[in-house]
Amino acid sequence: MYSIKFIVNLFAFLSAFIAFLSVFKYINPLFLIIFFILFITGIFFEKKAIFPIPRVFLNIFSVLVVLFSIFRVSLDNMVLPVVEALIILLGVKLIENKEFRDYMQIFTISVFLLAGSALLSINIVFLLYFLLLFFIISTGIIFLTFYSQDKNLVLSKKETLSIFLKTLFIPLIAIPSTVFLFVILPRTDYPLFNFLNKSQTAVVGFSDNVSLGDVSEIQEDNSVAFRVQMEKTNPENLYFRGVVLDYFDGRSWKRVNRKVLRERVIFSRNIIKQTIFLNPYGKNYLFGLNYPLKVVGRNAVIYDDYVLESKKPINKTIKYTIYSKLSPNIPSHFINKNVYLQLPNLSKKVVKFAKNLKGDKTVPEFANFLINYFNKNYKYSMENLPYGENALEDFLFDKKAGNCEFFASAAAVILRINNIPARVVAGYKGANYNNIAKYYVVFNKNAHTWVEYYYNGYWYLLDPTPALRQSILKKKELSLLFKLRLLLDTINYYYINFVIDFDFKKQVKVFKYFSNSLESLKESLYLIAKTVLNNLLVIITAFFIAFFSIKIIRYYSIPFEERILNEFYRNMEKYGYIKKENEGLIEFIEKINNKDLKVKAKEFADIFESFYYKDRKFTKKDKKILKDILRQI
Amino acid sequence: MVENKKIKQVIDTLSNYLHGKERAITLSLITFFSKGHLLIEDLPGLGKTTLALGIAKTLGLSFSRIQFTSDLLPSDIIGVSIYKKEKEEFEFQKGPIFHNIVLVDEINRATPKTQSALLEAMGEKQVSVEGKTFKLPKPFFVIATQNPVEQFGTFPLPESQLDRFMMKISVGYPSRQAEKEILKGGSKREEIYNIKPIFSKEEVLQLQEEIPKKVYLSEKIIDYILDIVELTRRTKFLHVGLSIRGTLAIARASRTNAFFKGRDYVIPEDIKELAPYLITHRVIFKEEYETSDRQEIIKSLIEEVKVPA
Repeated sequence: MYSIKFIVNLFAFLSAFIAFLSVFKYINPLFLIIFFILFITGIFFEKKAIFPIPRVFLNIFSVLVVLFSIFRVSLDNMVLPVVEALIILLGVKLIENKEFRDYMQIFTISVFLLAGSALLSINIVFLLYFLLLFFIISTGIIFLTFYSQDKNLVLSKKETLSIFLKTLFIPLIAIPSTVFLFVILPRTDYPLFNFLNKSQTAVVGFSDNVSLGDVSEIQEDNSVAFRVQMEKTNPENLYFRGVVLDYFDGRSWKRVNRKVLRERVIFSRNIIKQTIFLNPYGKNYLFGLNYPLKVVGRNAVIYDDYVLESKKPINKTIKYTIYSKLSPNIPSHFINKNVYLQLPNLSKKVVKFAKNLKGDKTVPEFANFLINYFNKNYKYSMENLPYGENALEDFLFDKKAGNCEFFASAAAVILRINNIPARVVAGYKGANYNNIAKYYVVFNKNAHTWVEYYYNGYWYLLDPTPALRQSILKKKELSLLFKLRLLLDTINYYYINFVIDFDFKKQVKVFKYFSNSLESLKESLYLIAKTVLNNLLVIITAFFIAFFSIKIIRYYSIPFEERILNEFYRNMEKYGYIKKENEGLIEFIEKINNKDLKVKAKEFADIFESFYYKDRKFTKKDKKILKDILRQI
Repeated sequence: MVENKKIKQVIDTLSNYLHGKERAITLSLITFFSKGHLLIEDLPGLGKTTLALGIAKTLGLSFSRIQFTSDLLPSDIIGVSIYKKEKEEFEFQKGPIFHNIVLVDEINRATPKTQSALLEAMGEKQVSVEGKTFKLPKPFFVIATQNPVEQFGTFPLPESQLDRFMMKISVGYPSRQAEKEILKGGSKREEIYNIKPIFSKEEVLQLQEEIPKKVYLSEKIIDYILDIVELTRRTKFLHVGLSIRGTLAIARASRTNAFFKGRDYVIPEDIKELAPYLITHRVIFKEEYETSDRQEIIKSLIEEVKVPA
């Protein structure tokens, strides 16, 4: 048989101990020792069922601890003082005579401590503590509910076990749903639970090499690649440049040649500012409207082909600002023609085909001709794509259908065969504008590849993919569901933008701004604290004198009858007998089980009442008799 | 527990005839010594007559019993003037009410006219017949009974009349053990007639006068009583609270209770103990609480009142 109090205590102390384990590595040994002493004392007190320290003192102590930790909190050291204060508060709670709310507080502080440990470091052990605490607290609270209904409840071993087992279902259902929430919630920048996030990036389809024939699923991917906060612009302009690919091995395009941009970026007209919220995708490239000139808010390199590469891979949602010049042709005075004319071994059929197409057209004419040619003779398709060694030839001569990668590859190869430098650009084309929140949302299905060819000191954009692709996308966008999704994305966007903002540092900056203005206040507080400390002895003495004089004054300001009666009640309370307001004195004494105590109490009550209810004044002698009896109680 | 020796003796004696009914006996005696009248609401055959007779005998008083019926006339209880040939004048023949202790059986069976004749006599302690006033004997104590179950053909007493009874109690079934004793010993009704009085009539009268003088009612207790009265007047359970007569009854009965317990001052417990019997029949419950246990409601009301100490 277990008393419910014992069970609840067991769970409370267990949860406190686990919370303690989760943080003990980080906190100051002094706090560690204090907590440990409080913990042991708490167990001792519970065992003896005595709680000698009045709650008032514990409360004052707790307030002092909190104040102390407030003084220690600074921007560089925010979590640790809080955790240390919490561990002391937890210890104090353990030595209190615990009631329902105290147990709840113990559980809550334990959870806070565990959360604090997650802020101090990222360690897989956290998961273990988390699970343990989850089980202990959810079971503990169920037992606590029983306790709150009947404090003297006694449960048999079988009952205890049965309640325990049934309670286990709570975490079993709750934890998977919690994990689910973790996955679907937007990720924060701060490394909280970050280890759960990384696997996310693999889902996203953008790739920095374009292989013919095996990327078709990208175009089906409805997940959001990034959001762009900017003014609404002409849809023609919506080419988001990602990565430039210059090397073709017959099957796939790669990025081989990298040179940091040396030309000075000249800001002129047609500069558009975009703030981009990029979802994690595991690569380093930053996207921006064609063509990007400068990125702010992210440590990145800009290459001479206007590809932006972040120093760190994007494994969590980031925010950056990008400045782009809206222009289909990029000035570039010096290029290494050999790089952009590189070709693998191609069959004669392809070469001949390419040369025939060119004929004696000028380069711009030929570019236009290519677009028209593809438009007329080829179909856009995302299914049944050619693949393998001869995918390009298959596309050109047999299937005559493919996705943007085939069109771009083919166009680039044809250009290069005709001695025109060309390269493939991978990025995103098109986006949906959210009129409510004024931003573009770019889905992974918007991923696109196009071609740039070099002519007369400029790189010109050439998009050979038939316009049919757009109409396929459009059709999907018209569906009501899609519109609804776009609408709902607004909430997502605001959440990301305002609540998390992906920039903990920025929030710290705001905090700093406020704290700076509060600095003077803090300084004066320090001054007060210093004065207080210097005159501590005087203040404490004064406090005690004031405290006791108030007590004495209050003691003598109430009549003797009331005083002696209160004293009697207090004495009885020590034995666990508390008189109700509606209970007569004799009625109250009738309930006493202890014989000797009952006799003494009756003696007191009889004498007292014979004066009290006869409206007689107590003489000195009577007072003495009553006090003597009280002393014996 | 009753501490007064002689009273205790009375209770002990009566307990021989009414096993396990000390409470009912004590309450009856408290009412008697507070100069009140008693209403017993109970099923027949639970020892009401024994109780009334026992009290009369132990206190050395005269006793009569009137069975109320629907054709009972006021003159049947008060008495009639009869023409005496010898004296050539009307002579008043005293009715059964001219006794110290009168047991009125099934008070609600008589017509309101007869009922009010009785109640008037109870209140005034005298009767007027044809211009002449006849004092009722002292002490005068009416124990009226009514059957709570049989309601057909009865004239239930209105609340205003019920107020004239100091207490309403019920004797109730005896415990199994007590009933066993009764079966073993047989009916002791005959023996009751042979009880030796413990009090004399004079002693009883003296005691009745003495109690209010001897027992001190503190101002704190008066406030406590008034708190209770006030609560009955404003609680959501009751339509009509206690009357002034009710308040007086509480004070008188609590004094007697204190006296019985050997105290010369009243404590809150004296009142708490009697309150359900003193209050329940004097107040009118709201309709929605009519059917619930009225005594429990009154008890819970008393528990709401804070005691002085």
